[in-house]
Amino acid sequence: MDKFQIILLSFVLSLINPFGVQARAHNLQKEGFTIAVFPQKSARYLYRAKINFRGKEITGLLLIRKKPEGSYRIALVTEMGLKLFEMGFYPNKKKPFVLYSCIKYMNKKVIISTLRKDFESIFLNFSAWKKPKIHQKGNQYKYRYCYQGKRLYFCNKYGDLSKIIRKRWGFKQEIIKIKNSKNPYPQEIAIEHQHITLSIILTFIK
Amino acid sequence: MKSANNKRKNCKPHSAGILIRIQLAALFFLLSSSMIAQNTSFQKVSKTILLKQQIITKAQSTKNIYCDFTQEKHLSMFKEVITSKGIFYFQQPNLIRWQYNTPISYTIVLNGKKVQIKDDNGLKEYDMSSNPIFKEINNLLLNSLNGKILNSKDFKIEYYKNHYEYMARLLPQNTAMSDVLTSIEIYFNRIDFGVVAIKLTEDSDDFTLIKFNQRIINGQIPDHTFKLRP
Repeated sequence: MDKFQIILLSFVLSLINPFGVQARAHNLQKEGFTIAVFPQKSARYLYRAKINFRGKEITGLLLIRKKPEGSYRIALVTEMGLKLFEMGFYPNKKKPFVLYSCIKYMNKKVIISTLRKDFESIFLNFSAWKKPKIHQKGNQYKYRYCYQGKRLYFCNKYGDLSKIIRKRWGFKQEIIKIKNSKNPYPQEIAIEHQHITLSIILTFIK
Repeated sequence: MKSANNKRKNCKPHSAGILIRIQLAALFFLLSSSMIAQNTSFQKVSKTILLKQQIITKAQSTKNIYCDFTQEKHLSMFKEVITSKGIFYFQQPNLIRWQYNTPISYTIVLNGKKVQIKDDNGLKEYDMSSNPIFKEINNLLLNSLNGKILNSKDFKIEYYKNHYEYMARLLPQNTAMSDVLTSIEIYFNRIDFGVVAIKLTEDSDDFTLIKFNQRIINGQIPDHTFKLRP
C-alpha cells in the first residue's frame, strides 16, 4: 500500500464514520480554550469610535451588545445623537449578517463589506483545538492560532488576544491590535487596513 | 372566649378602617394620575397663527442662550439609552457650542462656515460644506432656535399643547431630510415660548431627545466661547 492509497482509505473511512472525526475534534476542543475578543456570554459595551477613511474622520459612540447565543448587535451613533449604522452578526444563523440601517452617506457596498469583515474578525468565537504556532521575541512568546486559513489570532501565554490578522490570497488585509489590560473586554481595539486608507480605533468607555 | 370575641369585635372596625383608607388612597392615586395624564398628554392646537407668531417673536428677541443639556439616544432594538450631558451655548446669528462632559469630553463649535471639534486627541477644524452631516444638523438647530423652521416649506408642521408646553411636530417633506429623520418635535415652554427640548426621530423608532435645563436667556457669553483653542 503506497502513501496515496493510505490517504485515500483514511478519507473514505472518515466519510463513512463522521462521528469518529467529531469525537476526535471534541476531545481536542476539551483540551483547548475558546478564542474570543469578548469572552463574556452576554454583555453590553460602549466604545468611543474614530473612523478615518481617506483623510476624513468620523467619530462617535459604538454600542456593542452580545447575546448569550453568541450573536452581536452594534450601532454607531455620532456624539450629537445621529445613528450612522446598525448591524447584526449571527454566526449560527442562515443569514449571518444583517444591516439594519445605515445613513445614505455611508451606505456603500465597499464600506459595508469592509466594516462587516472587520467586525466579523473581532466577534469570531472559536475553540482552539489545534496546537498553536509559537513565536518568540526576546523573552516574550506569542501563540498563533489559525482560523480557516484566513484569520490569524495571536495570544499571550494566558490566552489574552493581542492581535488579529485577516488574510486574502496570502496577503494581509487588515491588522487588528487589541489592548486588554487584564479586563474581560478590550480597552482598545485598533483596526489598520493594509490596502485602503481606513483605520478604526475603538476606546472603551463603559 | 369573651376576650376572644371582644378582640374580634375590636378587630372588625379596625380592618374596615384600613380598607377604607386603602380605597381612598387608590381613588386619590387614580384621580391624580389621570390629572397628570391630562396635563402631560398633548392635544392638537387648532388656531396656530397666533402661537406661531408668539414663538417667532420670542425667538427673534433671543440674542443668546446658555444652558445645561441632557441628550438621550434611545435605540429601540437595543432597549438601551445612551445619555450624554453637557453645556449648550447659542449666540445670534449663527454661533453654536455643544460642550459634552459625559460620557466623553467632546466640544463642537459651529459658526456657519467652519466646524471646530475638540476632544482628547486635540483640536480639528473642518469646512461645514465638506461634511453634509454637520451642515444638516447645524441648519436644523439654528432654524429651530431662531424660529425660521416654522416657516420652512421643507416640513409639514403640526402644533400641539399640554399643560406645560407647546410642541411643533415637523414632518420632513424633502427626501434628503426624510432619509435621515422621520419627524422632529420641538418643545416650547408655555410661559416664555423658549425651546426646552428637541426630539429627533429616525426610522425604526430610534430617537434622540435633547432637553435644555437651567436656561439663561440674553445673559453674558464671552466671545471666546465660540473660538476653540488647542
